[in-house]
Amino acid sequence: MLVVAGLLLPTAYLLIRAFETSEAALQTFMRPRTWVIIGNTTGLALAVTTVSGLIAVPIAWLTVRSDLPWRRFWAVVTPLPLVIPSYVGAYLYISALGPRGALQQLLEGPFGITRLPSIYGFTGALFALTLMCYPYMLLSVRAALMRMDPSLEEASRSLGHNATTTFWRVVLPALRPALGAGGLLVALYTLRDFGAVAIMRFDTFTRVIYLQYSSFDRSQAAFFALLLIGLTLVLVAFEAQTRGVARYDQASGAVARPPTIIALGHWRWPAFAFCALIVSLSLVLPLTILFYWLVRGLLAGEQMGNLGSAVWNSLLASGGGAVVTVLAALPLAVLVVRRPGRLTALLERMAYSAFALPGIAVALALVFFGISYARGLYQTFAMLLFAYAILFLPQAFGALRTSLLQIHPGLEESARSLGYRPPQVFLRVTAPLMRPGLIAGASLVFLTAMKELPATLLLAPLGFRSLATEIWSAVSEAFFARAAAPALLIVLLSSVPMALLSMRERRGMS
Amino acid sequence: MSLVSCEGLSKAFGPTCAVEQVSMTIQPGEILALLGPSGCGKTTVLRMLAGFEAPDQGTIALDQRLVAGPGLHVPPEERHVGMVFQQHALFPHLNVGQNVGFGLRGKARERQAQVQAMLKLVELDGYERRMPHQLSGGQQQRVALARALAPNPAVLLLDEPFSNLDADLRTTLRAQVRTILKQVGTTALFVTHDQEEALFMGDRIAVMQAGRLEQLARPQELFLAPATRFIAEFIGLAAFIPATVTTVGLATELGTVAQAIDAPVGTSVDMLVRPDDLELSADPQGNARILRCTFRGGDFLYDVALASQRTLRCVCNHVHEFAPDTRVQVTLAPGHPLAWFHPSEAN
Repeated sequence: MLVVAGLLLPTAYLLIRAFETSEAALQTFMRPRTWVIIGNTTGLALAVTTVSGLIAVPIAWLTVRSDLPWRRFWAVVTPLPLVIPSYVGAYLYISALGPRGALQQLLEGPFGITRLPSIYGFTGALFALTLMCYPYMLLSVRAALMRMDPSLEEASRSLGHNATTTFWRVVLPALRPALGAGGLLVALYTLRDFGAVAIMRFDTFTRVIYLQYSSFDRSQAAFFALLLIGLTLVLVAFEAQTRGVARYDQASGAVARPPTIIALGHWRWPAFAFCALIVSLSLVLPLTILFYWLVRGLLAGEQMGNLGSAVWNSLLASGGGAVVTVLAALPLAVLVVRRPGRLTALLERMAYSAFALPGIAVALALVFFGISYARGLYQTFAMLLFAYAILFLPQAFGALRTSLLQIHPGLEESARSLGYRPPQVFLRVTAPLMRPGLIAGASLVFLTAMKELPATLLLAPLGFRSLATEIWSAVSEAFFARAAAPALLIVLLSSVPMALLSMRERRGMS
Repeated sequence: MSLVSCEGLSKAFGPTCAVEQVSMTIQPGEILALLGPSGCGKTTVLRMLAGFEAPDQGTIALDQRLVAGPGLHVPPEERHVGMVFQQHALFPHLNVGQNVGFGLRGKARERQAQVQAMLKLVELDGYERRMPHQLSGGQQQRVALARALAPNPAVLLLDEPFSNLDADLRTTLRAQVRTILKQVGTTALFVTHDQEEALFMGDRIAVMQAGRLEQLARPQELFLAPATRFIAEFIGLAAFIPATVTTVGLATELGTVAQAIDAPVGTSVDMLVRPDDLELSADPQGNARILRCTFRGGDFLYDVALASQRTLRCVCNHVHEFAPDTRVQVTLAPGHPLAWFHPSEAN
């Protein structure tokens, strides 16, 4: 209960804060600028989701169902952009394609081009976010395609529909839940994203909130944060609505047949080119630029001295965040799994609802809370950990819940019947069996916290420098070379769970 | 004039030969059961008929039209073949009515009428707006049948359609399905690994093993005159006892069975003995000893040991029961010629 109260704290506090100045808030709401921001934010989320879908569905289908050349290679490589945090990706694109960026310098010599079409604004944000986000949809659509019962398609073929009609009438509808879930992740990511839009200078809620916070217009920031939370909740509700009446789980006990491979014919090489284009834009280009700046920075004698303390701070904050979050999620997970009921179902919903909380909104709420009620905690390490716990609770909760579900209650009951009290049973039976889930949950939180930017920026103690804030401060002053080393470290650290994830997927296939 | 005819079908997946030189025909209105242990290639034959696999060799003609052969592969959607799958494969995003109407073309009103007629046929009228997951397993399979029958296919293929259902439901459903198929007069190929199901559903039964068609015959024939030792063992309970060919028939340790044998006198063969070919009588000086007695409801099944330590099984529907270790007299009383095989056929 305490954990859930903690979850509700930010939203409640923002509400109070906004109502205190309700008249001003109403005025703000009426201003056309507010509507521009709402339009920008939803427009960007819609566009990123749509384009991600247009990239993800063909790649998923090609890598699962077709005889695409190098199919396995593409299957491994295409989800990899996930490891690049959005602000790192945006910084790399700006430094490559922006004014005085690598591309322009490359073209200036032979062609004398001194200006490129601007990458800032909507185009840049769309470009960067899409290329960073499409893997979310790709992974969920791929999983759905691999799980799909091939006899559905065969039934359609035997009923007189050819391969193309079958794709539109049977395969695509069957992918709808996967598209919905993946699309929700992408849209939420876009709504919550702070780094990419801030670097691309596109006015969505997160950027405006940060700017207002920096200029000490804090009640308006609170109001906007509330609007943003409202928007994410509308989105989640919308996805739940559209899921409709159909149920998609496959018949149980079915022997899974491997998906049939369809020959592409003369489409093989265009499909190959498509995959190559996406991968070179989303992975090869950013990484090349990253190494370019790294080498250039090293040659120019860039200081790497304070990197050590940034790494240490990052590890400390993320590690602390992981421990706190898992400890908070544990009682919740035990309660939800072992005492199913209406109340616990509500708790479960709430735990997942934190997915919809944008980091910047949570951070802002805690800033207010700290200033008004908990002066002693304001800008302390504890406050930062609290923010992490709120933000990453769903991830830890999900991992713990899954591992708890796999532990048969009979094991606990037999321990009880052998004379152990519930706490002893938990320590001696449940906890050891849950270890994989505990580790998975903690490492997920650890790695996400490592990449987290807005909450760290707003809540960290004065003078606290982590890898993420290092990159941020270097990029906002256009010291691209100085950002390269911490960016590379973050990318490397994020690659670890990706490797684990793809290994698990491959094990699932064989 | 046959409705389905395959000639010399072969199909290999990599180095493994799934189907080898299979030829068969199905007559109009006939239900042919394709029976065999799992992995024998029966599903591959069905999938080649449906057009989901192309044969490496051989030809397939459906309704007098060649659909597969050298250089020819008519895609599934142009074969006019209905199919019922093991996991029913109902489209989860469509309701029952939309599922049944999925393969229908033409005016909306005609399609609607056909959907209604099909649902009535499978006794699911009124279920049109349900979603597949709201139906029981048996209902789902009946919807799948209605969907496959709706476009009036030339031939209906059923791929182990009942194997995901529990035993009770399976028995009722297969009776329903057989009635419906006969009512519509559909030509059907029914794949199963369950011999009881094959005996029930099939007008004729084709038995496959290791990619080859071993025998295609009426159920009684398979039972009484199995073409191979495999079929003898696969269908019904079977035991073999060694016999020698004599001028009058086959001589065994249980006596001689008089029947015409086209093998030289003195040849050693294995004679097929089924439990109902034997008779038991209480006899303290008898030639066998009861090992085990299994009560099967209508009758007793006895395992008996002969003097040669060979074990046979006999059925007795007599009321009195022999306890284990009782001595009995076993006599051969088949009432029909017994099948026999050369011992070299044993593997």
